[in-house]
Amino acid sequence: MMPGPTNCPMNSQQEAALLLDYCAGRLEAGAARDVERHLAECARCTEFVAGQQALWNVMNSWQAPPVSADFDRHLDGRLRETDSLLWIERVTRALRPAFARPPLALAAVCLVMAAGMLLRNPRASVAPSVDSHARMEQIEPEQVEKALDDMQMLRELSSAPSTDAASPKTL
Amino acid sequence: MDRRVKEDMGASMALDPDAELMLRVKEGDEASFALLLDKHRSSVIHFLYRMVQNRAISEELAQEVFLRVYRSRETYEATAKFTTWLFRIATHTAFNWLRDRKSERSQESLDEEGGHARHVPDRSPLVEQRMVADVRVDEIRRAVAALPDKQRAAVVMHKYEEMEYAQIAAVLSCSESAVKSLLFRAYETLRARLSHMA
Repeated sequence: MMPGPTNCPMNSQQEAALLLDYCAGRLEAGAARDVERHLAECARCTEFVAGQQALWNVMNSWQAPPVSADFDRHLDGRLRETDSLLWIERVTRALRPAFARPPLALAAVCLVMAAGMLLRNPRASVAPSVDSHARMEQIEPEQVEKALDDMQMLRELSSAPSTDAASPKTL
Repeated sequence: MDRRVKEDMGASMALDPDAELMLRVKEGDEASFALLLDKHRSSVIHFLYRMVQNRAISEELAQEVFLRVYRSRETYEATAKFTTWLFRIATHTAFNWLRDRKSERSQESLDEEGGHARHVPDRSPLVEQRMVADVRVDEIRRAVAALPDKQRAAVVMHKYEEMEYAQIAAVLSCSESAVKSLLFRAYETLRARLSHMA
């Protein structure tokens, strides 16, 4: 089926894959015999096969290093982390519908902020304390009295110049 | 042309024992995950090593791959061969790393691992042989590293993991004929670069 220059696998990249399979020993016995018959009369394919086998021999010398002894231990640790993260994720996913509604979320945020403010300054409050009320009640009459005294003094001062001015006339 | 390759992909997919193990992992059987890890640990690490060419990074990325497999257990569906799915994750992980590091000193990682033998002062024949072997390996690594990412992945899967065209195509999300073209061009480049070593 294959032998003959017209059926040469090197005529296309697709067909050249057959030669790669031959080099890799992946062809069934019958297919391998077909390729060998073709190679006997096709210099181009013979050259390709020789070059490919030489390349693979060279590439065989590149061995991957052995796997580290603690690979599984590290992976095991990370798998356990993943499991605990998955648990947290499941809980958050379960709670997500409750927080999906904007009013609820806003209320929750306000609550958290208010709690935070109270915790930061527990003495601060909106209503004035009883002590400050009492202090205001004690201070207020004194202030009023002082203000009245000040007014009296100002009135006396304002009347004083007229007597002073009159005195030269009397002199 | 009649391909007649030894493995029948379709038949192996129907009875993929690894997919069965993964379905057991999905049901909460951790021992099945340990079996899968034991079976595929080396091939995934070695594939990643040849992609990124640094041992520590390849192991770190392999951990990411197995973590992703474990995290995806609940949504896993046995629609493809398990190794196809596994290598698709591994390939994406490697491509992402290569993309992120492309602008950085990729050459340094090659020098880090290949350069240690060059500084050995001992001139005994054994050491010289080792140095020659290291230089050869270093040349192969550089030649493979110089391939475009997709060609490199195809070559590593085909040559070192001995995967079939159809499976490589499924991993790389392209057609089988595209894989054949990728491989033809990649091997052509490698033959030209490494011909003096043959």
